[in-house]
Amino acid sequence: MNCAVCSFIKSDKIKKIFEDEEIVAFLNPTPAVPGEVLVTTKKHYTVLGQVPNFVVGELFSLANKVSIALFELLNLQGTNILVNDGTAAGQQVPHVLIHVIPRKEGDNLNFDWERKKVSEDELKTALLKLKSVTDNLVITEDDKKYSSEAREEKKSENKEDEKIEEKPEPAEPEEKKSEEEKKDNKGYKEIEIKENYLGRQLRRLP
Amino acid sequence: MADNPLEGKSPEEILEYQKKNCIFCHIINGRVPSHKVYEDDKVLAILDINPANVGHILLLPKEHYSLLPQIPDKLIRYMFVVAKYLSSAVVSTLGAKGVNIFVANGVGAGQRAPHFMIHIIPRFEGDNMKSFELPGYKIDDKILQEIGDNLILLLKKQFESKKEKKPPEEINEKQELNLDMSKLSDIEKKVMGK
Repeated sequence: MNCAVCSFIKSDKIKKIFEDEEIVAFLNPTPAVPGEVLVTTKKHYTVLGQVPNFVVGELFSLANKVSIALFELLNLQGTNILVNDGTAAGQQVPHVLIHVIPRKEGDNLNFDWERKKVSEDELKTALLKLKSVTDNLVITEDDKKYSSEAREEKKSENKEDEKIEEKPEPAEPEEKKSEEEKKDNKGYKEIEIKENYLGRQLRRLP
Repeated sequence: MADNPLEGKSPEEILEYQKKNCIFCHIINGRVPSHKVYEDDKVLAILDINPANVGHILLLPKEHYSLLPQIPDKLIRYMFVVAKYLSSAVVSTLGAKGVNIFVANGVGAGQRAPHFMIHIIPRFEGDNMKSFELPGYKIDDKILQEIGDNLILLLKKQFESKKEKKPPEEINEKQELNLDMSKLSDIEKKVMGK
């Protein structure tokens, strides 16, 4: 297939900042602002609707981590996460891309849109149509496939092997444990963020 | 506002204040009416009443979070899976030819309300919306390499195991307040059960 993104991510022409079996993040070589990161799938999918749920989870979990890293590195006032899904939405290459865009005052970017006045009837009609699908929506979480985090945890557990003698655990409880760890992990991460910029960001909100 | 009520407050106190005054929390509690597109125990999706296009959906976590990095990883994953289904629904039921999925994370990124949300914006041929057209600038390769190398280091930090550093007990307790209690007890049950 002749997809520019597919051949890009196999080449060394781009600056990759993260890669695993499913997903990859790299610096946009022609960014809206310096530091714009693209997060994408290694497998070729054109639009988000084709991407399996657990990969969608991986993509946006990574996008959040990239956004945090950008905040720290570039001393930002914000980040935008943007998917232009379909050519009518401004998609330029036929490969699903998540843009993580660093934002600073005076960066000449403005994603704001004109707010339309619409009638209650128009809203109700749209709602009815949407609900014909969303009322039957059953979304199941795909816990088992949180692959990259699970892998990372395994890696770090291996490192610790020499220091700590841990009882060998059967597969299932280990999975629960890793869930626990993830929770703790996150707790710690949040504290770090708070110290760095969260307080400042929160104060600015209306 | 004559005085800034947030002056000199801690992030936790600010959160508490914002929660009480958050229009979206009122919508989630049902105190303010809305056009509900989708709802489950974790998220609520409503129609924007001043949309970019008709069918513009706001996807909200039911728990009050202001910014993306405050949200538990598991919930981030879940929300964007819901966003995926909603964007498909927008295409299949409203005849949209494309969708923008958009997050403004921080006031500097265009965030207007203190409740985190994902915008799902249906797009139609000739709708004349230019908001999400991205300029593409040529960047010096050296700058790109430098930013990249630094990002790699900072990202690694994000993936680091908590085993390497332990947060102090006291802060740990505060953190628990921000957790989704239903999820917490679920995990606890599982761990206790084994």
